[in-house]
Amino acid sequence: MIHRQLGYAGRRAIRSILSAPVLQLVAVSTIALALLVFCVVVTLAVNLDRVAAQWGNEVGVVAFFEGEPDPKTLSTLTDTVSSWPEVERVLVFTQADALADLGAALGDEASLLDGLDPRVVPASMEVRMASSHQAAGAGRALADRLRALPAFADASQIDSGEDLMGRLSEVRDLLQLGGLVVGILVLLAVVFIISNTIRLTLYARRAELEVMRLVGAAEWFVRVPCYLEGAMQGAAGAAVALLGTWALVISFPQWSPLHAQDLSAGSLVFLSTGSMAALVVGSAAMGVIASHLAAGRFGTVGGAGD
Amino acid sequence: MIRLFHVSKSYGRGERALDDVSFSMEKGEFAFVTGPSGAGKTTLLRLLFAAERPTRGRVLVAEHDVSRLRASSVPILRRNVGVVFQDFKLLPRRTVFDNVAFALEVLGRPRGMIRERVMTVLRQVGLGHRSTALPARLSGGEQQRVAIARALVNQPAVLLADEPTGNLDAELAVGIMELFETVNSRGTTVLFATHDRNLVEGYTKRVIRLEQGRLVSGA
Repeated sequence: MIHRQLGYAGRRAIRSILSAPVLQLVAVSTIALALLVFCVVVTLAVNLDRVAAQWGNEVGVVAFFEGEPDPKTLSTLTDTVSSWPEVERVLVFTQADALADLGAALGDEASLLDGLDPRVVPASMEVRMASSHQAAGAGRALADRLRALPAFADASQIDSGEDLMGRLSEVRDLLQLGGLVVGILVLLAVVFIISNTIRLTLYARRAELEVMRLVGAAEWFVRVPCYLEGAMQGAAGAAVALLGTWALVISFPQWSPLHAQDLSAGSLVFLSTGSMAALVVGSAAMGVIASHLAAGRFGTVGGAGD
Repeated sequence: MIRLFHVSKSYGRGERALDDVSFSMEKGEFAFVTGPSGAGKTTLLRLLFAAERPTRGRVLVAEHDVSRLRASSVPILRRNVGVVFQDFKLLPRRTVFDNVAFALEVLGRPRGMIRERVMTVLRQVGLGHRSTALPARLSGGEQQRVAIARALVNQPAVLLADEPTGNLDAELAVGIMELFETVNSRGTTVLFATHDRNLVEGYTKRVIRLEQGRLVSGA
């Protein structure tokens, strides 16, 4: 008997949705828009995390030389630094290498460097850390160790990348806080929208509800279609928001200014399957809660008749 | 089947719709509830199907104590009490068949049983041939017959009627009244509220008379 009642309640929920398509479309679109903002913020935070981790792995510490070091000194220095356990790799860039890199970065504008003396750009040593030693403050410790070498006595010659990472971390923290605030606002918006849509639906079907209660329908039976409708609205809104976010993510390389740079941020990763499922399920749950609130305000069994 | 013990019902500012009303009805009995507008007829009926709770006193219907009934038990009471209203309360977009079947669908009855029971009850009220019509295509009398069929389809022990002939002319009212008599003859307890003296005087039934919320005769 229960399965027949649930089946009937499900059919009533679908019939209710189909009977007011414009109202449903407006509700789902508004929910989708609110969730899209949330998804974009979360996607940005996730990608910033990814970029920070990637840069942390790739950049390491860069030490700049005063002028061009002589090959013997450079060889000794490279051997010394390479032998440190926290070091994975040491790359040396001469002044000519640095100028060539700059030319490559300028692309079509590389001709601007024609005739430039290579000595205007410094030679450098890029020290990449072993992944087993990567931790907060590890870059600064390596920079201090390099600074203790006579070749790098001047503190300004060493860039541990920690300042950049620190700023990146601040932006990430800000985005996470923003995500939390946006999340709470979106949650309230979703509950408000679904609750009001369900109330409109209940109002439109008040005669049917009155008769249902009059002939002895259980209260859960009266409410279940509202819960299903709310859950469907929430899930549909989340699905549309995810589609919108996905479209933004895949089109990112076309419109992003970062794409022109040779940076890992030139492309974005989309939310994980688990996050997407959590968003859809969470949004559906919000729909059920909102429907419960709306149905509660609309009255219970004691109110049948007139 | 129905028992009221010193029942009072007050609304805001202490206005009393019912004042110390006591009476009882046995299984299979038929009674009119009469009185002028505002006498408390509708309030009395609303207490009997638990749309209202008494302010004082006890109301027993089909072995349910309405005064103490929990919200979750109200549907169980209503499956034993059919109610018919003056304004029919039919669903305009559903056919005659669907309006009656609705009362069984919401209880999760099997489709085959619904079809059989609905057609049986529609034939009993003389509407077997109008099952596919929409309510708007029916006369007032036919619409009220559909409402009665819906109230009866779940085979309730008690049938309450609140001015069921109020919107009908005298001839149709007699037809509806005959239908209630037929239902009563099959063992259903019927309480029929009306302010139509001519209708009441045409039958030798028990008459419970209310005036200003008080029971003045028929206890």
